[in-house]
Amino acid sequence: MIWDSVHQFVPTLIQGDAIGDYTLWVREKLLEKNIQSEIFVGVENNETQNITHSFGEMEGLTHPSKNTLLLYHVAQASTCAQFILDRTEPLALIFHNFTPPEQLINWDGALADDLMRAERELKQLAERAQIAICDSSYNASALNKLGLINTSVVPLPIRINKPVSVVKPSNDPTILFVGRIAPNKAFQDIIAAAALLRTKIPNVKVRFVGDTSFTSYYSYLTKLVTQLALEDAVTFTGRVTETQLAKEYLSAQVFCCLSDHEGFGVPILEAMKLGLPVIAYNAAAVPETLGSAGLLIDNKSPTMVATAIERVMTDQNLSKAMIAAGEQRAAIFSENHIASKIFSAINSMSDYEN
Amino acid sequence: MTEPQSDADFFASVVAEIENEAQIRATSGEYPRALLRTLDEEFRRWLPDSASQQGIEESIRGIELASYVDPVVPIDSRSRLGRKVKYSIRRLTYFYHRHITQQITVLGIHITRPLRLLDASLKQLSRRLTALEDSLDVNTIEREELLAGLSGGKLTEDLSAEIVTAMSSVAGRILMTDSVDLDLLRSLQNPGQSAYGVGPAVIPGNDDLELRYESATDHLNVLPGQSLAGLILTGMTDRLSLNEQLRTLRKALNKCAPGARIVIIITLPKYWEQLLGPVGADLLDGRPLHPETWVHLLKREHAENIEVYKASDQSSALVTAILK
Repeated sequence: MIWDSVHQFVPTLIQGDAIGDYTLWVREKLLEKNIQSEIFVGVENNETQNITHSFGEMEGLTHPSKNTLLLYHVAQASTCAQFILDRTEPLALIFHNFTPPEQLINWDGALADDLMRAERELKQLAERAQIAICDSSYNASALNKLGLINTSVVPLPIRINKPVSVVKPSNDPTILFVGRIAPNKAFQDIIAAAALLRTKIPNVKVRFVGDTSFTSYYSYLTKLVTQLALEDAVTFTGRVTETQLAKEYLSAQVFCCLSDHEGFGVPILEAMKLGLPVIAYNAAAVPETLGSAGLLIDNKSPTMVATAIERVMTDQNLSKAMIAAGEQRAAIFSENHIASKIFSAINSMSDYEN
Repeated sequence: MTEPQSDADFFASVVAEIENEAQIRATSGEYPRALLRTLDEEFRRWLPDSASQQGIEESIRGIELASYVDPVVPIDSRSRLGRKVKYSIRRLTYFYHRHITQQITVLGIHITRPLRLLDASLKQLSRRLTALEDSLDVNTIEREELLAGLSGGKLTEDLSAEIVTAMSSVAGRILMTDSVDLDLLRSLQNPGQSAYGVGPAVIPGNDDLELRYESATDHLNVLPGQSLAGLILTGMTDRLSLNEQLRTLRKALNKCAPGARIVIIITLPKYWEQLLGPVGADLLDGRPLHPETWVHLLKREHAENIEVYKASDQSSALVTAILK
């Protein structure tokens, strides 16, 4: 089946966010194939409202058709969900997984509540959809627990490129982590390891790149940094531009991800693509994303993490082997390869009964 | 999306090396002890409860899920008209239902939050209690310095022979920890027996023996219950603080099957004092325990056939028993 139009629905579209950037990229690929594509959102965002429409506007902008496919990005609860459930067009879910509510409940009860609602919504959506495209096998297996739905695993593409200008590595040995400041990403574990590592490498630095709007958790982290006297060693950059992000990767010595939950983990692959050795904690979809191209640790106690980082920073042969393996792995997630997998997944929908 | 196996093997072996190194660092006093304690406490504080495999977490999660009330009212109906009517009513009243159900859900979360806090407080209390017990002893660095005068020491021949005799009827796994006497371990490699040694000291070039390079406590933590047919405790009896010895004994006995043969090897306190001098004896009070104390402790654990053997040179002693 060839689709005339494929419209995407997303709770809200944020540029610089993995799901937001992915939604825009999918639209770009659809338009390249002359397939009409609009983005509808549950809540409009000031920065992207000129390229999105509220879901209620769909009636006026499009016409129901058997050759129209709706793609819904599932990552949180949204008013879009009920609207989509009432539509008659074929539906494909793109499942990015949810942060387990129990990892957020001590920090933001309302958000945890919202995620529980999202889990309920997902059950209904899974019954209504023909297929679900999942970022990882981990996500597909979570979805399969809800019932019978055809799933297809298509990872996210890695689009980051080296900046034109030359970036020199930082003079100080630097640990980098990229991700929204959220409790499931366990920033405190990296900070704790850095406190130990400083007793061996006094000039070690840590840079955290990502949105800091989760205020209760961010405030705890800044207090922890002060308590451990690491103010001169730890930096929270907030959100940065694509070029700045690439520079962060290029100037660091090691990328460290200790998240308790990741549905995929784009920054792990971005780090690999830009030649940064990766140490990651074995949780959720992380081992699948990391593959055999980095150090996967089962124990992230401060001593273990500090020892691992020190080893990567001081053992040049190990670091080189990790970089080579990482670059090889990141190549698998090229845009063209992922785009062809997405088209293959949505075109296969004609095989399933509506 | 598979990687060359060589990379996987290589990185896995590096991680194993790092784990060993981290374990040594954690116990050797290489990092400031106070900083380690602060960090460990902070680390455990935010470790997801699910990772600590506590049943209470699942119960709380169950309550949370049950407290969620779905605002979307079902509209199934036998007739199409009925479905349409129900659908219209649902659309009209959705805002109201959502308002009510959200409040119920929030109430559920507010009920479970204190349970989570209570659970976290109990865990924290337990950790603090353990830390307090340990803090009654001299700090790790000082302890290591004071104990430097103690050598691994080989057992006297008469005591070795007693142990071999005591273990001769044992069939199954025998654990020797944590100052492993290789000759003794070798003499316990009989048909039907599977003796192995666990200890933090490196013992290279003994491929004929099953040796594990880790701390006794860590090993006992992961060992399944009632999996041992025999247990030989040595080394730790001379070095660990009183509380640590009592905890290790309790943990070790939990790993022994009923009928297991227990052997405890002790340096006799007078000889131990000669080796370390009065400073060590004063500051490392509570070790080694007298054979009579071990007899008392084993009796309290309902062990039977308890026997004490002293070495001919009066340097050490054995306490043997059978666990009920």
